[in-house]
This record gives sequence, C-alpha cells and structure tokens, in this order.
Amino acid sequence: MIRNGHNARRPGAGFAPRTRKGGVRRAETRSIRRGPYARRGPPAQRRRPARSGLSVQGRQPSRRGLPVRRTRSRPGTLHRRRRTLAAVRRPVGRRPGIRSAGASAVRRWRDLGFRSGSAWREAHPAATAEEARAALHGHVNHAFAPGGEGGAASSKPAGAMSSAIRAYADGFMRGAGFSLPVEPVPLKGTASAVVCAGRNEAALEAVLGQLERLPLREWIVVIPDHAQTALAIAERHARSVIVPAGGWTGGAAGRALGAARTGADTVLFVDGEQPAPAGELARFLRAVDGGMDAALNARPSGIAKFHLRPPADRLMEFLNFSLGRRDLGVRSLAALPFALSRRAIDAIGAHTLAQPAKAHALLLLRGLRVGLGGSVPWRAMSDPDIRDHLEAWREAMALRGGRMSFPDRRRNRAAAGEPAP
Amino acid sequence: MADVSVVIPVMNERRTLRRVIREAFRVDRGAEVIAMVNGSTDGSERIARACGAKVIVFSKPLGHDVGRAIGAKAAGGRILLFVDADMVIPARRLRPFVDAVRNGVDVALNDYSGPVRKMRVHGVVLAKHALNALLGRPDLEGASLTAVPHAMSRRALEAIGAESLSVPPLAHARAICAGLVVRRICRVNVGALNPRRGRKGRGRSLERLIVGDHLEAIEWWTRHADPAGAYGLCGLRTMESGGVP
Repeated sequence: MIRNGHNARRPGAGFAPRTRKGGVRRAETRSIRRGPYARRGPPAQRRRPARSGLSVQGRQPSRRGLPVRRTRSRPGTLHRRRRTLAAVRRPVGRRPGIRSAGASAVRRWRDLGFRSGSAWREAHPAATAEEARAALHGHVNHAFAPGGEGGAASSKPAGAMSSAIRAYADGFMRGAGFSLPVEPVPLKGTASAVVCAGRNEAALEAVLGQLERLPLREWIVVIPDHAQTALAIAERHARSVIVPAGGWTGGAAGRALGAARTGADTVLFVDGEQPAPAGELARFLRAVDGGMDAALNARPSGIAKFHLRPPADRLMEFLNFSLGRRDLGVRSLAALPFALSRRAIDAIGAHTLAQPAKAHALLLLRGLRVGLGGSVPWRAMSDPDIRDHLEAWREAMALRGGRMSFPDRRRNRAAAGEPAP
Repeated sequence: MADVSVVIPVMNERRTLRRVIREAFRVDRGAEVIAMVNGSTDGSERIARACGAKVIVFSKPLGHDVGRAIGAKAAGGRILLFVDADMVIPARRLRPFVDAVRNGVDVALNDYSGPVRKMRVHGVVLAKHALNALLGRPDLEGASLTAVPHAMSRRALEAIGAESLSVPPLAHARAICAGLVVRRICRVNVGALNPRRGRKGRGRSLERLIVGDHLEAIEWWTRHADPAGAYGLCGLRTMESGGVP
C-alpha cells in the first residue's frame, strides 16, 4: 500500500481518482474498458456492468467489499464530524468517501493548491516550516475570500467548502515540499490566542502544537513565576508572546492579562493544561470571524444528570436561564476554550475576563451575539467563585431590576406588611 | 400557650381541608391550628371552623404565600409548622419537623429537591439549587422554604420577620444570612402529593413567579452579603456552626 503522496502526485496522471492501492487497478480498468478489449475484460469486471460504468464518473465500489461511505461527501456532513487528533493527521486524499460527487472539485482545488505551493517554494527556496504555514494561511485567505478564486466555493455548503479548503491546503503543502499538519481557516480579520500555563507545565507543548496549525498571528502565553519548563516550551515557538503572570493568580486572571496584550480581531482562549484538537479550535475562529461575538465551548451541559452536576454548573445554568438564554445550558465563559470578538472584548473590558461569570453576564446584557463554537471536553471548575457570581447578578439587576423579567403580579404583599419588590 | 402552631393557608380547599386540619391537630397535643382562609367561596371557612381551627378570613385572594406570613404573625406557638390545605400529609410524617426544631434546629426543611435525575430540570428546581449554591449552602441541594412542610422556631421567625414569608426564597436567604441553623430533615414527596398544578391550571406561569422570587432573594443577598467586602461570610459561618447535617 502506498502511504505517502508523492507517487499519487505524478505529473500527468497525478490527479486521476485513486484507489487505496495507489491507482494501479484503476488505470488497468480504464484501459481495458476503453481499449479494444473492453468487452472481453475479466469476468469480474463484466459481472458488475452498472457499477463499473459509475466508476468512470469517479465512483467505484470499495475494493474490500466495504460500503462506500457517501455520508462524508454529502454537503453539510463533513464539518459536523468529530475531528479527533488522528483525523486531523490523516491526509485528505486518502479518505475513501471523497471520491463521489465533489471529487472532481476537490481534485481541482488540490491541483490549484499544489501549483500555488510549488510557485511559492520556487520564490522562497530557503523557507522555514513556520514560513510555509504562514504562506499557506495567506494563500487560503486569498483563494477563499468572498471575491477570490474560491468565491464560488464560499456559496457552497460548509461541508463542501471545508473539503475544498483542506484539499487546497494539502496540495499547497505538497507543492511547497513540506509535510506539516495545518488547519486552514480562511479569516477576514486577524486572530490571536491566549494561553495560561498551568501547574502541569509539560502539557503546554501539546497545546502549542495544536495552536501552531491554526492561522493565528501570535499567541500570548501567560507564564506564572518560576514556571521554567513552561517558559522553555513557549520560547521554542516563534509565534509565542510571553507575558509573565506577575502577582496574578488563577487561570481567569491570566486570561484577562493576556487579552489586554493583543489587538487581534478574534481572540481564542485555550486551556494551557489540556490540549484541544486544532480542528475543533478552528470552529471557534470561524464562528467569531463570521460575525459572532462570543463562541462558547459547545460541549453539551448534559454530561451528567442534574443531580450529579457541581454547584458551579447550577449557578451558571441559572444565570443563563434568568438572562433568557436557557438554550445555553451551563455553557459560559467559565469553560475553556472560547473565542471573543474585538467588539466583545472592548464592550466588557479585557480586565473583566478575570471574573468569568460577570464577563459572561455582561456579554448577554450588552446584547452581544453569544453562540457556540467547537466542542471540547473541559476540566470542571472546583468551587464556584461566589464573589464573581454576586457581581454578575449585581450587573444584571442594575440593568433589568430585582426580579429581571420575572414579575410578581399576584401577591397582595401589603396585607402581610411586606414591601413591594 | 400552645407549644406548636400549625399554619394552613386555605383557598377553596374543601375537598381536603377537613383531613388536613385533623392531621394538624394530631401533630402535637394541644397544637394550635390556624386556617388562613382567603378568597374562598366553597365553604372552606365553615369547614375550618367546624374542625376547631382558629380561622382568619380574607374575602379577597391574598396570592401565593402571603397567607402563610399573616398566619405566622397570628401564631402563638414556640414552634411553627407550615402545611398546605390541598395535600393531606399524615401527622407521623409532620412530627419529625417539629421534633427537629424542639432539638435545636431553627429552620427544619423538607428534604425535597424536585425531580433532579434528569438532563434538563424545571426552572424552579434549577432556581432553588442555584440559590443554595450562591448562599454557600450547596449541601441543602434544592431544599428551601419554598416547599412545605417545614417548621421553624420562634427565634427564626423573629430573626427573618414574619412578613418575609410572603416570598419564601427571600425568607430562606434571610434565615441563612442570620446565622440560623437551617437543615434538611426528611423527605416528603410533595411533587407526587401535589395535584394542584393540573387542577388549578397554575402550571407554567407559576414557574415564572417562583423563579422571580428566587431572583428577588438573590437581589437581597447581593445587597446584604457584602457589608464590608466580606462576601458570603455570614452564610459560611452558618455552615461552620452546625448548618451542615
């Protein structure tokens, strides 16, 4: 089995759809069917005339008797699939399902990417991997901007769009001669990330490894005092901006500190101790770049039934409920990762992020667009910060009154001597 | 003077009232039973008098929980027990609340949190849990003065003010802030006993009223929890001094 791509990228025949065996069988099949012996092909071929006919169009039955997985290539399904780390690493060209409907478009994009990548490498023969990534993200932005070559693609469903982008990125990297994992996301604005190194300093390596794949301008790494391991890890990455935590303690305080140090249009906040797959993080960037002000971790609140959830979750769920966002469940700025727009950070103030509940309430109270981004497992908070929650309620009630949108029109309180609310 | 006063708000409850009053008298020898008849047109008043209860009548409906506050003001007992007129709870299941108060508890709550073994709970259940979490008493789960039966000492009534019983979550917050001993005693599943939701069509609109009550309690708490920058301190003191069962 051919595992690498260079064989499949042979000039001339390079962009014919391939089988898992590297296209050998396919080439034979085609020559037999089109050649003078077409009707005298092996019995196995003749037994399935209808499906062989289809294969000329680009679809053929699976070699091993496995069903062709059409679902992946159906528009709108690809982007919903859970992307594990393994899935991100798998080269796009080898996905068995990609051969159907959009396969020719995917090939075209990969071809285009390959040519762009080759041309870029010729112009930059001494380029580093980091430069190749930056160039790719620039090219993706250019190719898939509303007015760019991918302008037509952008009107397509997200699934088709995302496979086109992946194919382009895959082609670009091969063309440029680099074998680097990338997560291409066409963005209108700039994006940065904020990471706070935690107690488990070594985990930062994997976290930054995922951030590296994304089109981030830089990432702010907030490093606590005496965290030498974390500092060494952060310094190895060219895009790291190191900010000493100083007297600040706690993850939320670090986020506030980091947020104040970036002026990017989209700011992604990630956990420094628990790596999240770049593919999921990309969804936060896409959501905010597409007009959302706050993209929360979509990890459903229903991990456990209500009676098993910690008090912090109950407080958050009630805060959402009373602010008219029952649909958010327990999802809030208290759970990493999340992404905020520049507009959101300016509206609530970067320093407010040190108090997640208050910041969350302010987002909703200021009428900012709060929705969901990717879905990432997150570490449960320990005890709720009561002070933070009290301030969240104070903000809410200062604006919407003591009972907010839940009035009491039934009671005759005067009869008991209790003042009206 | 009676040792135990049982306060029962009544609004058109002739179907169950007789049995409720009978069980109330059985809770304690010489108990005082106060029926707060308000807005009743079905002869509940006559039934209450016939059963030997002390009757206070308001021709207009007082609305939720206000009857309990007025009844508490009229009560003379050392221990106050609160029940509803539309569900019959046997005296043997009411006595543990009275006994707890007799043994030093200030506020003896029904250990009932509503249906919680599900992914998405009722808004009232959520509100009750959230309020307790905010008050620094997550150990109380969803138990609160919102649910009957519950009992309290006269000391507790004086500390929180009888009028505050009009808004039970507010009374609950005040009790905890006052440093009273607030405990879950035992479970009376009022959800199963309580048929009124369908019968009187109170359903969803009641959810908004009770959620609002909890917000009112939270609003009160935001003003009182921080007298000198010491957030939630009085709530924590309650826990240390024996608030945790």
